[in-house]
Amino acid sequence: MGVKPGSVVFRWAVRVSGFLLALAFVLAGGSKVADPAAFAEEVMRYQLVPWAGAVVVALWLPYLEILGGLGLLWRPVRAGARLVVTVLLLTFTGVLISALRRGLNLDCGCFGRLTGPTTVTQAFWRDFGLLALTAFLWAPEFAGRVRRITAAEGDKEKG
Amino acid sequence: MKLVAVCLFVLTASAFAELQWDNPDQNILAKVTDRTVVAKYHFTNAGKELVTIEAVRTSCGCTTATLAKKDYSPGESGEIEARFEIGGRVGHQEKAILVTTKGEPHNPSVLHLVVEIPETIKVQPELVLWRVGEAAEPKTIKVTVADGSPAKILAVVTDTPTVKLSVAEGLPGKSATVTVTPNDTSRPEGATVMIKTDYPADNPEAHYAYVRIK
Amino acid sequence: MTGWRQAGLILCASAIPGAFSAAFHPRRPGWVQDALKPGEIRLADVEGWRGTVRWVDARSNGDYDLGHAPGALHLDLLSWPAAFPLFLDQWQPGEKVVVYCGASSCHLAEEVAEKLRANGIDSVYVLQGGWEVWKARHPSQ
Repeated sequence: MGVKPGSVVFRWAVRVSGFLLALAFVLAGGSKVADPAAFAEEVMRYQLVPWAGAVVVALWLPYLEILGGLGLLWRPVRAGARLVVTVLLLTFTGVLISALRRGLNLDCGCFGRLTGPTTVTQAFWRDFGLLALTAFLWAPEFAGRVRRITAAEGDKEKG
Repeated sequence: MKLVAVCLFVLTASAFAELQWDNPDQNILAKVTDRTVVAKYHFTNAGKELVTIEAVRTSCGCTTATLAKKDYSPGESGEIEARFEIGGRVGHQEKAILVTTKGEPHNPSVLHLVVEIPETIKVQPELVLWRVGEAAEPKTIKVTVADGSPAKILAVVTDTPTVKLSVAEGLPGKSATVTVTPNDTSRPEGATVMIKTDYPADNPEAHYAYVRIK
Repeated sequence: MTGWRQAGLILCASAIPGAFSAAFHPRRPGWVQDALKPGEIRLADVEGWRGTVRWVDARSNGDYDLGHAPGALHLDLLSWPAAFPLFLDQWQPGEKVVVYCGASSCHLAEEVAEKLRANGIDSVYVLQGGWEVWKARHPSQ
């Protein structure tokens, strides 16, 4: 790989992926805010939670997505937002895989009415793409840790 | 004493607001030849103020209700005409009509319409089904003429020779048991069983049952 | 560690508008789902079914012509003598049948479903909420 941690290209990749994820999350959350009743029905289609659970998800998740997305753009909570966004994406992917395995024939409901009908498979690949973007968010820290470890090992060798 | 006063007050208050209906619950026995049943609900504005009827809703798409005008002065009478389309329905039918006035949008008058529709000829079941490969055991269809109906069963025939029919008459012309036996259940097949009657005389009705091998 | 604390903060902060939605949102869902009447089915459950679903439209002919579920057959008591054999030609034993009508013709689907069941066709359901629910789910069609 020609792109090294700390290089200008890498820093921009991190910035752009953060921005794209923020946009995706704010749009996804925003599209569901207007009609929690309809979103609760969407959640029920996955047949994973009882109605009361679907209601909690329908009321809470849209705002969690919006704040998680916005948090990625605001330095003081960026680390937390990165965690929220990653955990949410992992959960969504898990839910979609479970729907695929059960052969559920449904429209994902991920972006409310913002996009046209999206099949579970399409939604899965979209989530997969977004998960790949989150890798960039974690990369600087990971790279930093690797640097620290190699530096420490280097110190040991010296000593 | 207090209770009586309260009761009196409630009674008079409701009389002010409500329309008085002559016959809010109607039972109608339809004739065999009827296609629609019409019920008229006569009312009077028994209050001291103008009553405006805002909406007349029915519980079923088969019923429509019409009203000549909307505003009724104190003492004035009017009529709501409910029209029930029989459209293939038989037996006991209960429908409701809700009349909402401007003063009391959440407390509609509920009118009931009960229609008894005689079924001239009953074919039960209308479908006899064999699965492909199933043993070609005979299955039966019962044909019954309703009590008091002048109709008679004239003949029971099938449109294809792929099924055999045998008709056992109960009361002559009034009931029959049709036994259907397919010749071959090894492939999908369909047949129609026609039950010919002599009623109504000018244009005798035929009734149908269906045979399917699927 | 700060990451976890910030995540907790975001979680709590998003619960605040969530709670407001629960209390005041005009489209807030009820905590108890509308109970199903016998023989009724929710659209969400139908969408989860595998295999063919045979749709039956029990509204008036005019409503049907204005729009209906793709592949739905028009079958009401008035059109029964002509439409029931058509239904039998399309229907395969074991298939699930879902009958719907509109809000203004609420009992029609029950009537048709009952008549289908009386003729030995099993797995007949009435769609809860009828055409309006279907339409809300498929606004483009």
